[in-house]
Amino acid sequence: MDEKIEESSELEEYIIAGLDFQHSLNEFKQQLKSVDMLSLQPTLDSKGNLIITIPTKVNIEEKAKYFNQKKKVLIEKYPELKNLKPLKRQERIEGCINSSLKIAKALIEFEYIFDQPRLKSSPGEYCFDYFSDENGAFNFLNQQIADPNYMEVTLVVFENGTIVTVTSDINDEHNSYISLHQNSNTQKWYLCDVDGSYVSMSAISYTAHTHNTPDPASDQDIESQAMHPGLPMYIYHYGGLMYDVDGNIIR
Amino acid sequence: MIIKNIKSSLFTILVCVSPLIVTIGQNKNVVLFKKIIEPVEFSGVPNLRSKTLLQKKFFPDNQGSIEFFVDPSFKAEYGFRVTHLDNGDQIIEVKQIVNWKEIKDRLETEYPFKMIPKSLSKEEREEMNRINVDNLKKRRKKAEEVIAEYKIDSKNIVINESLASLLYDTYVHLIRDYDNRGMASVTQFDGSQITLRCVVDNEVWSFLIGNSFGDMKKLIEISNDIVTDAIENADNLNQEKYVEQLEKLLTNR
Repeated sequence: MDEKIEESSELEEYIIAGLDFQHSLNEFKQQLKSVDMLSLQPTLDSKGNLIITIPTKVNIEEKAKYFNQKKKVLIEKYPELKNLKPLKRQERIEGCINSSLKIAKALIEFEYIFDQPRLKSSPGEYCFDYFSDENGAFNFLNQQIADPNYMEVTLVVFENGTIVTVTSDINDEHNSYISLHQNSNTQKWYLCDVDGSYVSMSAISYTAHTHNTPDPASDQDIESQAMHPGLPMYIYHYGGLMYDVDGNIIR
Repeated sequence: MIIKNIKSSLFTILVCVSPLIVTIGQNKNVVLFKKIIEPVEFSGVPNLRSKTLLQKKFFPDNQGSIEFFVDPSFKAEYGFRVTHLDNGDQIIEVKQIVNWKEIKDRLETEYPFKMIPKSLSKEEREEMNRINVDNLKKRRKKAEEVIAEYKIDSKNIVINESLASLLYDTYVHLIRDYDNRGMASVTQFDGSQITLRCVVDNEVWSFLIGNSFGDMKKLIEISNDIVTDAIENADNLNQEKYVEQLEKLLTNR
């Protein structure tokens, strides 16, 4: 019975009508911004209800009616949906979405959904600073550590000798991030930008992120090292001093 | 266009369409997470397999409808859970370790990890390194043992039904719907490791994550704010504020 609901055209049409309605609501919201509310005149309808007509091109009423019609058809065919727990109901809806080409097309058509302003889902940006030698990079890291507005920075040294520091826009005193990718053939690691593109075609020799106090690796650091076998990940303290997650001094 | 129709439409859309948005508006980054679904009890005994030793000290059973636990890299662990009392009241138990710093300092004194000056000879540096590695190993081993010494302070605050049920619903929905597809994997250094847990029927869902993004990040921020607020204003927790934030989080998804 449950599978039937997921595969039914009634649920499919209901979902598409819902997406269409949501899309119209968003358009309506945008158009409302350009409406001068003070200029609107309320009137009374035949039943004495106070009516305000808003001049927009989107007919929400029609979309809502259509959506409710589809809902009615769906419930008439599957009355058990009314008594289904929200999580179970959502499961049916997700099952339908994942198996319907029509819905997939509707999602593409209404791609605004992907672009809705959301909470910062980042790192949205990495800042890459290039250095000609390690000493230059170390000086930069030392300055960062000494800065009263310190935030963690990651050093990445490539096999071809390129040296870069990476700072994401959400790094802070106790957090830093980089994006990495392992080549499945060579097992070597590469530095990526936020979109997954390689920053350099050279593999990484090692990484090191700063600690402004001489704390050893945190649990998260140990886990990160474990997730990147073959890529040395060090902690950088002050003055070019680095150690691995087990505390072994490197320099 | 009739205003009252818009309101009713909005209500409809929130109730009926929000699950769709859940599925399609997800992260753009891949981060490490773990979701564990287990029986809430087994052979009549609470199933605590997914809890660490310290989590068991914080929350020794599965009586909480939800649990929130934070393990920061450089600070004391803290968290809360929501439980139901026999009289029908729901309470939030906000917990933190009060002697964490004292124990940390003691371990650091007993097992020091010293920076090694470059001016030393190779032999001296190697010897210091050997001591450092050995001390670090001992310190990490000891960290498990000192959990027994932790003193945990608990503030129990009666919360209203709206807050309790919104917290529960948000935990259930966000853990259940968490999606982690994205273009690039994000590697995290330091920061906090967070565990969210909820009991759903006869299951306990545990969700472990480092730094999170999107709705999950927002939920963790709200949960963190509740802890701070409860510690600072136990007698006057601003419940309405959290109800509003959680409602917004649930309906805007």
